[in-house]
Amino acid sequence: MKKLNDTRFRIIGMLIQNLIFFLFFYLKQVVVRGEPLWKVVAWQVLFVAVIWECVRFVIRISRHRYPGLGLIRPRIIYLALLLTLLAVVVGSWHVWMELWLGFWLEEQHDIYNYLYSIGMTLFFSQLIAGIYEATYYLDQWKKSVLRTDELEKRTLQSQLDSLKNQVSPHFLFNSLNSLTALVEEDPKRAVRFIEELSAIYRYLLQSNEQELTTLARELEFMDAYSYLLKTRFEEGFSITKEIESVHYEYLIPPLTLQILVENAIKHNMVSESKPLHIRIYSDEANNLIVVNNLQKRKTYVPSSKTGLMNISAKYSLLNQPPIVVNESNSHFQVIVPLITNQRHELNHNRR
Amino acid sequence: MNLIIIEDESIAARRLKKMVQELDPAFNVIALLDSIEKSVKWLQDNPGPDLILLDIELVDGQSFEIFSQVEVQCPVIFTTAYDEYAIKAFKINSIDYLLKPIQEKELAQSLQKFRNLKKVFADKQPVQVNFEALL
Repeated sequence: MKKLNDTRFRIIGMLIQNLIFFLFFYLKQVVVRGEPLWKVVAWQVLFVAVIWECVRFVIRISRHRYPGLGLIRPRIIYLALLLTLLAVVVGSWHVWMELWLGFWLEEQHDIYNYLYSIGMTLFFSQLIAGIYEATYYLDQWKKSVLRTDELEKRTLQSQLDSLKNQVSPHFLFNSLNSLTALVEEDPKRAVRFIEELSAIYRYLLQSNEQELTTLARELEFMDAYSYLLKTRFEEGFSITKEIESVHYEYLIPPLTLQILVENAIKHNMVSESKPLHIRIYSDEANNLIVVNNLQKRKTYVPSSKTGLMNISAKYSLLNQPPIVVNESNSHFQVIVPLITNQRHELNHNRR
Repeated sequence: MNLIIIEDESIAARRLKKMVQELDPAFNVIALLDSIEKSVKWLQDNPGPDLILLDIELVDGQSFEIFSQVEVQCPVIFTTAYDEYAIKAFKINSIDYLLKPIQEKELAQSLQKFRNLKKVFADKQPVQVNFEALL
């Protein structure tokens, strides 16, 4: 069982309770019945200490058994039961002690003394336990708020990280560079370029919050993305899409296509004399396939394989079949299983 | 003054050419190249230019490769969207490192820097010539 760390609260609380006891209950014993002051004070100090220590013990047991915010109901019920039991025992002991000390006359001794004493003990022990429970609850609540904050921060951080990794900042700067040229050369195309660029960044920001998106949305995004690439590389880059319309509503982790296309550009030559062709199509087995002609750059491109690894990791987190990567002398191919709504929900529930 | 532009995006190359010519008509853009291979070949076949505007990420790799394949005497101004290559660029005859999107003002400053350096070296040249003449 944990310690309570309540020294200050306990000392001040006991002092106040002693003061109350003396003024409202024991002053009479000193003034009217002429009992010695030391005897009365010593007794009430002992009694208050017994109540406090018993309540503290009960609090510790209940917290140990039902800790935390979530278990507040069982804890309170358990606490109430123990406190009642405590009140009966300590209250009865109180009457017995006062009889022994001679505060009561034998002929006054009846059941109502016990009820009075038990009631008083119950009242005070509940008061003390209530304060303990309230501070405990508040403390736990604060901790949980802090934890939630921390979690939120982490989620945001990881979203930001993935955003940063998903689309390299160079893409933005290269695009802006092309844009400055375009503004002078062809203002109309520049306007379209800006529209597509903002569509891309809107999608990037939105899609980060989702686990999955429809293939239709992903393809729409690819249109904007490839428009930018087409503007930058002109005849050096082309992309064709042959998707069965039945597959439009299938699901896919957002930015999967973008990662694959960006990879193809990063690792291959893209020029008018050596154009890069990317073909995106779907097959009967509900796979999405992205293939490009392989014409690797001569100088070594440092590759951390982050892109493909990210996609793989997402598929395994979603409990989906793995992606397949094929490389031949002339082509590079990635096969990504499309996810149906049911399959996704099923696997989600199974987790 | 002869200048070549090595840049893999033709639209960006065209803009650079236009900017240079507007800033200083004395510059003559004699070639636009987009790959390591073409650049190396051009540099081997032609007399060295006075200045190169050089992108780092080219069609077939990073332009640093050019310097290992052919000796380049003239100064270089790098133009790139990547800021992580500045130190590497420093080791080559670079006189400036411009980040994309390229600002006209910055390009003007780089060209001015080039002219200043050229003047410094040109001023020293006669001394050397005289020295040789004395011998």
